[in-house]
Amino acid sequence: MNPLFMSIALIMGLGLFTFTMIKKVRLLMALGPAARMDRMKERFKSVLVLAMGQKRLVGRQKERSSGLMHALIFWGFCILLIRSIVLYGQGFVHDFQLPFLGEHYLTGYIYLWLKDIMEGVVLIMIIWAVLRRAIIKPERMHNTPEAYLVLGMIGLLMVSDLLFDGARYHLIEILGNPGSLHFFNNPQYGPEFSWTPVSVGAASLLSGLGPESAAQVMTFMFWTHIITQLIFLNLLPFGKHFHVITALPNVFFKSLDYPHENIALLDMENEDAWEDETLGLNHIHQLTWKQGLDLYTCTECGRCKDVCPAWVTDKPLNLKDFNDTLKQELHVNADKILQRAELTAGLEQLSDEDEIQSQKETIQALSSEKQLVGEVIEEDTLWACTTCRACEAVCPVTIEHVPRIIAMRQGATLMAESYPKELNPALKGLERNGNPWGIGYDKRADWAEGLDVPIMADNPDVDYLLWVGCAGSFDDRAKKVSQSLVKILQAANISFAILGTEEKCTGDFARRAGNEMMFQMMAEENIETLNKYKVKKIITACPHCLTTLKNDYPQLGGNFDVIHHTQLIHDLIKTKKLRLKNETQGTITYHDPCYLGRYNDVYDAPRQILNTVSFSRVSELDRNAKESFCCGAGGGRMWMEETIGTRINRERTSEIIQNDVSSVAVGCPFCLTMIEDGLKELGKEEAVSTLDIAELVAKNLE
Amino acid sequence: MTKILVFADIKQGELKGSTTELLSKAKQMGAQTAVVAVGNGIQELTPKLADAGSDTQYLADDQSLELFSGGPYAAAVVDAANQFEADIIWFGFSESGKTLAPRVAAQLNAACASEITDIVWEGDKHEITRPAIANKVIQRLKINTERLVAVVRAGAFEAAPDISGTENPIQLSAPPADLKAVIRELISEAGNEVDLADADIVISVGRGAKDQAGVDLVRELAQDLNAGFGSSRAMVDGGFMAHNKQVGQTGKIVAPTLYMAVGISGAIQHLAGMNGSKVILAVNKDPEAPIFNVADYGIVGDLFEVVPILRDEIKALKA
Repeated sequence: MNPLFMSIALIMGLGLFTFTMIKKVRLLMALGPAARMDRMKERFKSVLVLAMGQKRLVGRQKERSSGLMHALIFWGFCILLIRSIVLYGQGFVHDFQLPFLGEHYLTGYIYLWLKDIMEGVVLIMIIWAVLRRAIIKPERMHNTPEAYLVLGMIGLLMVSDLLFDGARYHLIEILGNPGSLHFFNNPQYGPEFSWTPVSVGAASLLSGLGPESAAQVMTFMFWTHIITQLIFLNLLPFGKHFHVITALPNVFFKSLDYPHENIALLDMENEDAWEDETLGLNHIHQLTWKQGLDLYTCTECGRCKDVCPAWVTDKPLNLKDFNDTLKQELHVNADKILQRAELTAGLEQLSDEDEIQSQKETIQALSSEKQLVGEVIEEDTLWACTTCRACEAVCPVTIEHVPRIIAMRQGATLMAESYPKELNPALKGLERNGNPWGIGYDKRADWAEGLDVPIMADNPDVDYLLWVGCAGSFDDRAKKVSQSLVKILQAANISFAILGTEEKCTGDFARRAGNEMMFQMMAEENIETLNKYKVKKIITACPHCLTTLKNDYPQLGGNFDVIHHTQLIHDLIKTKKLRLKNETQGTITYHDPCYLGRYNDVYDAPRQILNTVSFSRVSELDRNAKESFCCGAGGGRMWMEETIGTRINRERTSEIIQNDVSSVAVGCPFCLTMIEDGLKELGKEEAVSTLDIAELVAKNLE
Repeated sequence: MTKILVFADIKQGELKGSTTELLSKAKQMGAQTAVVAVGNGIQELTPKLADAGSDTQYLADDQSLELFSGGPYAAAVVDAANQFEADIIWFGFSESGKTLAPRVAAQLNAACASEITDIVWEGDKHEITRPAIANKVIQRLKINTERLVAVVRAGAFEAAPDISGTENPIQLSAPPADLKAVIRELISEAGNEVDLADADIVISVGRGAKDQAGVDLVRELAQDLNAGFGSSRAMVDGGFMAHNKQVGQTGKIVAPTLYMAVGISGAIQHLAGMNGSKVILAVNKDPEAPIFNVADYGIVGDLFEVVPILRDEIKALKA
């Protein structure tokens, strides 16, 4: 069309964009390290499934309509990008084409057809998106002018390309194929018009135009498309639509550890870290580059807060605003962060002690003015999180919210001793008696009296260690679960033993409440005990113990094969080592514990056990499996008061009651307490019984 | 002869029982006893202080001492200890005792022991007994300093009925005001009610009370016994009780002489807040309620029937 003009447009558009991106990437590179370059195959796979495949947008039943809308716009946009490249080329060379897309190839025609249809589809989706925002106004989204601007620009990209083709077809029609107008024509596949119904429709809109006007429209639409695209590209990095660029890398660099990024292991012996107050996340420059990329990528779609138990029950934790607040803080401090990184890198070249000291002071002075907890993010907001990770299960761009929240709790707890004081009795109990209630450690095995349960110290050669956990050892209600489990193990002739008074809390709640010190103390003592008996296989009825033993202890050198009791019971049923009656009456529903489901991917075993012992099949709750709703006890919340908003367990219990069941099965002692309490509060404890799966199985033993 | 100075625990113009217990023990040990009382208008307590078992009463009576303040109060105690040439200075197990003991010990260059349960004369030294590591062991410590400052664990010593002292008041000059901190006002969280942390008897109400009428019924029982009135979480959630009345893991942790759990099933979160109580009495209509596992006395019955009977019996006993 016009090589000079195209060159100027491209140099300006791409130059400006490169400049912006260099700034954005430099800021990320100045942040802390994160190891995300391993396991390339899996990384490409997640990009294919989650990003290109839009799995979390189209895969979720609850958000399918809007998810499908987004996916269609995304796919349409991707398809159009190829066409855009062709148009850039045609700016220089009249009949430029990409390989395999010319008129000699069937692929060229198929692409034209696909592009044409998708442009139409995207246009319809854009109209729907605008109407949805303007009229339906879904609660989870911010209705910003930016959103309309971006939708408008995408729409314009489609319209301009359709009208460009339309005007071209019209000209070809009225001028009878002049050589100056390039178009596809193949003896086998015919002319391109027959492949592109939408563009032909666009052409008919222009049917009244004479050749001159039609040519003007064609040129105008060509440049509108090019210029809109370049402006669009340059606007993206400045708002939430930056995700158009960052979502793919963000998914690529996502944590591959199942299920999500684990909490970072802090070096408690590092005196410098204590001195410089760098343990945990206290200042914005302590984010890792991946956490920074998360902030760039947050699209503020609000799916996270929609499923968040804290937000749903009126706590101040609004994850998308949380991200936005941190992003603002990151940008406000960008210059300091860059300087800081430069000086820190320069430290290594210095040898003079005094110089090092003075440079360290300069670096220290470059910390953000505000502490993250208390000054950027309110304390009530931070501590509202139950670490249930529902947000992470639904985030279409795989943002890792929870490890960041826990890192901030670590900072507040370790560096500022600032944490909810109700946690103190539980922490003290842990320190003195190895359980959060502070009950004498000597009573830990009392629940097993008269059950003929071997103790590890006397029987070190057993196949399994039964890890009882604090609730199963001390809480009268949960003790019944432990006793039922023992009955099952004995019925199936499993060789097992317990640690008895040598067992201690795994440190789960301490870790998730940010008290890494206490967690590591508990973990080290437990690992020492477990290694002393050369324990290999562990069964536990507590998903919190399960996660900590299985996913956290390897960080400290404790490697055990840990399974939940429902997994073992399911295996025993399958291998016919356990024979069960199918006599449980009434309808049963199942509440997925977060730490069993989302943290350890156990969804089927409990359901299949329930289907074995019950007459009727499991009646699913509205929020189930991957999208199960937390009971409210995770992340140390069991040991804190819940004074803001309504109670999470009440919300969940109401859902259970609405499901009109006679019992609810759980697989976690904390869920058991929370749901039973909720039922009592709502006066339904007689109508709906709360049972651990082990109790149901024990009742049905043949 | 050993000289023991006891700090008089005075709350709202009343001498607390712990002072009598400490003085009784001092007398039984054959020590020369004195008491130091600090406050405003405490002059009139002299006969009571003597009755409790003190032979000398050091009185720091001044308007500036109306409100408890660590600095000036400690200065008064140090003054009394020096005048009396006390070997041992005892404090009761109260907030003021716990605040003053280390200050006084530091100023007197004395050893300081907290929560002692016994003291004996061994050879030429005092030997004290105190629980340690969350009550898991009993520690015996020999005191090598000339003077000993100790906080005595609540209820460690018993008041002897036949003990008395003589009136011999000595006025102390008012200590200088604390320059670091001035206490302007004390606001009691408990309002007019008995403070849960201080109360000898605590009565808590649970879900069994059902509604406000049930809560009020149990509250009257608490008033009859001048007991602290607490609650399980259920009643706080129900809006029947204030949050600062919640006894349990995430609320108040209490250890009174008598704890009465009325209509409380005894979930572990509640037990964690009260299982240090000396005597536990439970009223619950469910004989399987876990509270009975920790209770010393249990009444199986509906609180709406049991509480009125209890009230009648208490009235009869009082009359």
